[in-house]
Amino acid sequence: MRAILWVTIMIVGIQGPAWGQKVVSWDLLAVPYSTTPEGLYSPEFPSWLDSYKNQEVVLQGYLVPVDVKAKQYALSRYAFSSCFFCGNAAPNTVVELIFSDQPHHLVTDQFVVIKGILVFNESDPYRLFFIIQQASFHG
Amino acid sequence: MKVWILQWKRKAASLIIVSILAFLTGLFIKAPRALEHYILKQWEESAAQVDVIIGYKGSPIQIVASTLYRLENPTGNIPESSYSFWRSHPLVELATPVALGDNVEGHPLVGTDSTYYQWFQMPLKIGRYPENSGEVIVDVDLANQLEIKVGSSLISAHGSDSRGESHDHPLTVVGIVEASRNVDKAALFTLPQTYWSLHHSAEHSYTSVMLKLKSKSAMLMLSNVINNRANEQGAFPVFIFGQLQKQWQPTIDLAGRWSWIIAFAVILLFIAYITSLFNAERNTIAFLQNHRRSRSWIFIQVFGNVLLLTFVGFVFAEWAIKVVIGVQPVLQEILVMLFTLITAVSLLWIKLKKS
Repeated sequence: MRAILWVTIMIVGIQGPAWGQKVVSWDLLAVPYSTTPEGLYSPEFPSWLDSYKNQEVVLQGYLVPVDVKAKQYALSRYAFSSCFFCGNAAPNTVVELIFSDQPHHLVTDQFVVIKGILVFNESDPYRLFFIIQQASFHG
Repeated sequence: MKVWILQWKRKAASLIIVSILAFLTGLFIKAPRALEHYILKQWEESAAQVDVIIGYKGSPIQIVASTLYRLENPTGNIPESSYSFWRSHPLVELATPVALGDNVEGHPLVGTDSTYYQWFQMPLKIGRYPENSGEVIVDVDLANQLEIKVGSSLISAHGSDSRGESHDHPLTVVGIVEASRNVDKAALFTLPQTYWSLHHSAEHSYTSVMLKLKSKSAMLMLSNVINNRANEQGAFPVFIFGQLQKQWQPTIDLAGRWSWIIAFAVILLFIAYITSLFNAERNTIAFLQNHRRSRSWIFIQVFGNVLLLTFVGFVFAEWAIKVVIGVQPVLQEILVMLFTLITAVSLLWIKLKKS
């Protein structure tokens, strides 16, 4: 009986991550970046991040509204009320969210867990370094 | 046909009540959304249009309130070099300078350039936009209120109150515009140069600079840049709006729930009143039944006007909310109205069938 239990746990344990999403931390996403002569940002994506590229990930943070009319949001490592613009925030502490279903009434600074496809933005200097496509609320 | 006309004449009083009740029902069904719209929409409109406002170091709320809504005194002045810096920043698509601080008979005098009029949609009705220092344009409603027209001379004063110290140079009205935003309808516009000459300032300065960025996400990339600029404060209208929404949302949600309860009570009242009309029409119905008229014929002759007025009342409620408050109709609310109407009709029909 105990053996069966162990086997089950092991199977679930092995298969769990293989099916599912990878949980990413903000430290992982804090990639180095440089400033171009014109004053734009250019991120560098280290090779150890490659396994997360275009994968389904889970990330937690605070919602920041960027466009109230189009209901566009970003996910921030830091809460707005704990002084988003006082020094800690940088271009690599926020990610862009593209929701698959447009959410209604989201509240600023709401702490949420987001699931979606992690896309690396390597070319567009007017968008954030990471974009979570097909985003939805997780758990 | 004769019965139908007679019904209108005979039941004038109850028909007026029906249309008013229908109108009220329509209004109450839409009340929750109208309330939310009323509290947040005005802020949302402007917050969606301007991405960043750069002002002198101080409270971001004060910068947004003074520049966008003219509700507060400005935090201070920023030099012309700030405007040049932001205008040429690669993330900025459009930069519009704003100078504030004076008023004409209590209405704020806004010093800005031609980009403002395009940004906030202020088409010209008569005359032209200001081209030289001392030239002023004004919204058509305010022009009527102050009884001024193209060519009129105005005297401006310091501060937001007409009792402030007056300036000796008169301003000349050169154009009448049609402003879209309510706050722009209550203001006068001139060039920033007017401010510099009125205040005899050698150094050119502005109150704030409004920025439209190349993307919405660019906002989040500017935090570092703004933090490194001396004496400048970046204010993000969308964040201020977010804070405002966060404060108001629980109240709106609560009021919304109560509105639905009240709306439901009004719907019940409305249905009850319509079905009570049946008793008043008992004799007419009995008379028509004796004349062997079909049931649907009787229904249309006796209650047709009630249903028509209900429909008119609902449509009028839709129209009123749309025109007065600007809330667009949504399917859900129309379905509730339709459901109310169908319930009333079915109840009348069942009663007619039973009699």
